[in-house]
Amino acid sequence: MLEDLLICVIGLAVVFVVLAVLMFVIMGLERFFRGGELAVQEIAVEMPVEAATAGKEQLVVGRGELKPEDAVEVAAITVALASHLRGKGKKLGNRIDINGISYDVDVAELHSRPISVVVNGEGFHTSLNDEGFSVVEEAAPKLGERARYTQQGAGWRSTYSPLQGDYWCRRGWTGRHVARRNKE
Amino acid sequence: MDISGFSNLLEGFKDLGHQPLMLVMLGIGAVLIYLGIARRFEPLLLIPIGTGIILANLPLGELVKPATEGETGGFLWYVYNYTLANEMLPLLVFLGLGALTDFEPMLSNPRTILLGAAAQFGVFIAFMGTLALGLLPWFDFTAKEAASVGIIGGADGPTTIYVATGMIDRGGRDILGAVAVAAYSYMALVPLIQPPVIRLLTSKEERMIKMPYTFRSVSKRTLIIFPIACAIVIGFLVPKAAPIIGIMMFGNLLRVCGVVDRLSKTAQNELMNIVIMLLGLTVGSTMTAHAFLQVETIAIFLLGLIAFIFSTAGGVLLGKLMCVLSHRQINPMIGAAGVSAVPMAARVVQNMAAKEDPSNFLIMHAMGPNVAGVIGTATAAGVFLALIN
Repeated sequence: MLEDLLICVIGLAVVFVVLAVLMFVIMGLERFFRGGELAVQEIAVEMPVEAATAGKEQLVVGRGELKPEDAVEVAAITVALASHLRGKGKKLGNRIDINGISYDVDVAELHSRPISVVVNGEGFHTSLNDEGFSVVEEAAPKLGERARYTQQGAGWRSTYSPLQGDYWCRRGWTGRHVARRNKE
Repeated sequence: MDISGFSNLLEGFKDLGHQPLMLVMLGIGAVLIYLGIARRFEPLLLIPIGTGIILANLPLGELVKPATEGETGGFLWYVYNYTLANEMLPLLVFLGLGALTDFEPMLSNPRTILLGAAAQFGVFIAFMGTLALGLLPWFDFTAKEAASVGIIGGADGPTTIYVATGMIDRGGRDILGAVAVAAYSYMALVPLIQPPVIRLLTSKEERMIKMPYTFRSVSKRTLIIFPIACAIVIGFLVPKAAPIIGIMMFGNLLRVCGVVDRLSKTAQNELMNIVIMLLGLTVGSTMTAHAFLQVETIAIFLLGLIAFIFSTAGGVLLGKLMCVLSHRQINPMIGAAGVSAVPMAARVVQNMAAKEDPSNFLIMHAMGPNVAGVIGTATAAGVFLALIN
């Protein structure tokens, strides 16, 4: 029985020692390789000023040694970038560069279902919950606009953007309705 | 017209008359299949095991009969002898597990590895408990059976099968079927077993401790070197655990290296599925009436439960210690995830944390000890195999 008790004590001690050694090995590895290529890459979007001022964006994507494995990954990056730019009211161009490699891309309307993406002539279809990305492209800018209008004046009317169209206040219809009537 | 051949058709019923207990085993097989299908308790394993039990206990045992000079053996006998008896199937499961396991949560927070070690406490408690029971006249347990029973506390099915098979090789009794079913049953019952233990050992305030998750990505080189380094370190420290860890880390290397996706996917899916089918069937086929319907089987199930409870307690207690030492930076509940039921134990911790405070997310913190527990259980298995001859 004493021998068996010894097996228990030694066994538990060995498990602790082995895992402690592994812990220090991992810490050492991390210290040694810190700053290397990350397992989960951050995607940095470098947007040249000249390109940004133009209507369409020519993008250089990538950091370090990021290199897409195949066209599917480029398609995914393309949709994400197009959605990101759409939120800023801009449009993705027809070429993106990843680590110096150029890809010809073409994204159809983001609110279409499914979204069509063409990478170097190869077509892909993607959708989010069987829908397009209309939520992404509409919700964010409007919230921003509302906030801006809120700062401009007091009262509930100012929280609505004139771009949204007509609204009724105690002085009658305003917004596009008034503009249209004045025009007439 | 010779009617003697017709009597062969009734041999099944004659055999049933000789071994009525086979009906009990057929019932047990049916219950396991029911639990797998209706209750979704580890269906990938309980359905093949249940089927294996039924096939092994059919009259005349055609599927499990051993090969003799003039007659070929049963299908399951060959599968057992050429794949399980030589420990090949559990190791192939580890290949798939390695390919499926993401060590990144553990690598990004190495401190939590120690919780995986503490959660092996139940393994050794059950080992001692089994030996203590062996002192009673009704039980015939030696250190070999005790090791097979104790390892159930690691909550790792393949390791349990690996140790039980290894102990049979060393002259131990064949309790493979009982320990395998106990291990997989309790793994399925982790959401029922762990919460009361955790609640008993922690206060509400401790359970509400938030651990902000700041994702610290691990370098890809670390991810690739870790499996190789782990295999080498354990190969030197516990050589008997080298087959399990070595094969598992090979599977993980396939996953993380990023250049052999085909092999990685095969290990995760096709190979794993084939192996699990054969493993379940073969383990089930070892559960014949005379081997399974013993008083020891009840004791094995009871000791397996004790092992699970103490493993959970061990992890939580070290979690409490780390909580104090880190000035309440660590939620002690994540220690419970140190039992290697991946990812069930981590999910239990997350659910309990969310129950106390819905804005508390511990799942990624709990995954670290959870995968460390797999290595811990394999190490404990290696210790048993090295020390018990």
